[in-house]
Amino acid sequence: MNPTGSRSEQKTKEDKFFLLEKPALEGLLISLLTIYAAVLGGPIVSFTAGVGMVFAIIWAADAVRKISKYGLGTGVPSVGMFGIGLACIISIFAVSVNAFWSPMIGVVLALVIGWISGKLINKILGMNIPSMEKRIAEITAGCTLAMIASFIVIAGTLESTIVFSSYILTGISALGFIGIAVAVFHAYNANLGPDEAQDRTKMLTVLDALLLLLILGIAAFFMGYGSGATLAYLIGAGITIFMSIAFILISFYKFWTYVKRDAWQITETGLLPSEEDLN
Amino acid sequence: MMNIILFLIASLLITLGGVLITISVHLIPVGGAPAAMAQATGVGTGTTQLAAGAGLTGLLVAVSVHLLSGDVLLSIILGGIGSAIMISIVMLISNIGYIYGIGIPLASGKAVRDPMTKDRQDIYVSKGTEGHGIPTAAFLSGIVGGIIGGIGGSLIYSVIYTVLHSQTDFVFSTPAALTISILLSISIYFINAVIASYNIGGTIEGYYDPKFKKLPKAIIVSAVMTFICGIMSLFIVIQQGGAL
Repeated sequence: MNPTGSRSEQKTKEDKFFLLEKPALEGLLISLLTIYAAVLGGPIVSFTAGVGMVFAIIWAADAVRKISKYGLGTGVPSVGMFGIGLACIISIFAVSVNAFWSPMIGVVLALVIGWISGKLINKILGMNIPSMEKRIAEITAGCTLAMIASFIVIAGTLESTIVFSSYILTGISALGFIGIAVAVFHAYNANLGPDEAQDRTKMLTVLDALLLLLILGIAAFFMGYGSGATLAYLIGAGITIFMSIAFILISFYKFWTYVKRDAWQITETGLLPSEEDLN
Repeated sequence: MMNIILFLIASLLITLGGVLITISVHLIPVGGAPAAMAQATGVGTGTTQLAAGAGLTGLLVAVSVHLLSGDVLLSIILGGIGSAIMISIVMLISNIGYIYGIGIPLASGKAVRDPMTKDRQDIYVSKGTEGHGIPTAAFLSGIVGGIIGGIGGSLIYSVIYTVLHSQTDFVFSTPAALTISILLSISIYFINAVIASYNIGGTIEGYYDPKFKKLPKAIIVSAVMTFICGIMSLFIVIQQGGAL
């Protein structure tokens, strides 16, 4: 499934500006639009930020897929954890600076710092992976957008006081931290190999992101219910839950279809052999 | 608002913590996927997972000691010891698995003789592998790495917490301050663990491995990245210190 072609052809493909690639453009635009829709619409439409989180995760996961093809030598999870480590600090920083502009500030900072770190890793540590700078910047930016979107899913707003008291201090931040990281790196890590197909990896990413969204939605609903949140907040969280359940079923069915399409043969293992069969 | 000298000292201390974490990953015997199949020396998992295991245990110990005693220095030291205990347990259990489960002697693929015990290594290395298990020198190197890494992680946590606490308009509850400090220090921990992991290419045996000589490069990258992250973390802490 590896794209064939000479090395120079691949190089020009990797040199393209990142916004000219479809997953990056989709991820950036859709997640920014949905995050701002949720910010302007109030807690009742907080589920749109969930959609934004899924698209941001797809963007980051696609960058993980493209960089991991070169063989990092350290396992696929490492680059995901690097991205989420930077993204966690950047997203909280962006929210602290300014609530309304935090998605913009976060993306720009993530792209710049990710590019710097990729450059340092490539040049000083001597990894020499083509487009390392661009991909790490994309992973960091995708993770940052996903983190900021998850702030809205839980807090319903980007006001730093509310984000801190409901997202970070309650410990849901730990769930968001590891959940986004797993959603970003798991799909390629599970599907890698000579028969890796882009649509199958992407569908697994969607499934992972939606599972995280379901957990976040449940957390938001019961936290809001326990602390006496407004009806609008509870409706927003409820829609998040039902929306994610519906799309989990769809994406799981599609992923299973892709698995059956790509598998050479599916056999049932049957029951465990009895002791007589073994002798 | 804190003055600029204290801010600089705090960010330099965070940078020092990040550099310590990078050094610690170079000392821990990481084998990666080959070691999981007993084809390379070291613990059979990636650096990120080992860093998460040992580093988070160290942070947990540091935070609990800090919460109980309020002594920063004690919590930093005990954080290092907590990390070292965790990494020792991991190495001991994997050695038991290698010896009794797979049935192989512990041998280093990089050194002809073990630098500590001076035992012959090369004749015990199976053909087609780069050593297996965790021999004595690698084990001791791993313990030292655990101590250094734990100290680094606890140092970052303590600096962030102290800065947060020194705000004149400090209104955080203690758990709230702990949560923010831990979240930021874990992020910095992962960033440095991955930088070190890229420098060693995923596997290293310990201080006697030839790859250990690449350490200065990783220190430069780690110092730059941790400094950027440290300034952002301190900004968050100062900005939010009086906000809640």
